[in-house]
Amino acid sequence: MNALRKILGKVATLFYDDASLAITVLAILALAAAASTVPGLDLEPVMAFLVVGVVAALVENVARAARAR
Amino acid sequence: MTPNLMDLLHAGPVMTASFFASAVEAVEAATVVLAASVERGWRPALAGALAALAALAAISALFGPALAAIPIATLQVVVGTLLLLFGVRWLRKAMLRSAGAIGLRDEEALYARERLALDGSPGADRRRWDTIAALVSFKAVLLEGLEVVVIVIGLGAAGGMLVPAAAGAVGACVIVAGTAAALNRPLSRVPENALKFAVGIMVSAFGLFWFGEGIGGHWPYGDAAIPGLVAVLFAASSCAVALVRRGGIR
Repeated sequence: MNALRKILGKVATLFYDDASLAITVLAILALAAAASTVPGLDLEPVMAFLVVGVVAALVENVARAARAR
Repeated sequence: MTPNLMDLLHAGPVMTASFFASAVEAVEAATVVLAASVERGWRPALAGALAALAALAAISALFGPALAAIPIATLQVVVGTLLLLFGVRWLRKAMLRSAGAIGLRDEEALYARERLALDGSPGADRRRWDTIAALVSFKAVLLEGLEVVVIVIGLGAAGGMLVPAAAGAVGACVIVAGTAAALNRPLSRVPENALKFAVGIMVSAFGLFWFGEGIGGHWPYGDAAIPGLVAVLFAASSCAVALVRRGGIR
């Protein structure tokens, strides 16, 4: 049981080790997905938001983590 | 272009990303298996590693066919999200290591620590079957192997590229295991952080690409947008590392 819990824990940590970055990325993806359902909306700005948003979130998180150390 | 060249152009980036990502995981597993092998005997360590590979094969056989039943757009969104989270996590760590904010992974130190821990465990008699060596080896290969399975499925599933992704992963694991066995020492000269940096960028680019496709968007120039996404991520992360290193980001 302990081993199974450890394996599941390891699987979960494959996808995040800094919760704030994971949450920010998920929020950006959710916003992009929500925007894509708006009828008549051009998706090119949504794709640009996706790329710029994720890159900005990553750079901000790295800068903050480096500052904290 | 001929169909073969087109296939190669599509499969190449997937196979490359899968190869290097799996190589990083294989190096980590090899360090532990090697320590168990040197300290407690190679038979139980090898048996543990082979049992873990069999378990991984069973897990893949169980979940692999289920992927075919998922609608392609849903699969792209799910795989894109998971790849992006996975890639950004690796890229963040590699950026912090490159910037000197956290220490580099030291395979020699991990190897020495693992050997010390195994040496202190009871029953270190190399003539007998050693359950501890088998379990330590099994756990290391299973946990690192799970990451390889996630990488292969993530990179291969959404674009129908499971075979090239799996081939890249198997190739990396065979090369790393063969080299570690031949040298009989941890592969500390593998530039782990540079690999993690490159793989983090590639996996994040695939994640963005598949998520965008999954929500109904179309990237400029189709699949050729992936190298563009790689270039954007590389430029941004390299600039951020350089700025952090010089103290420009405060």
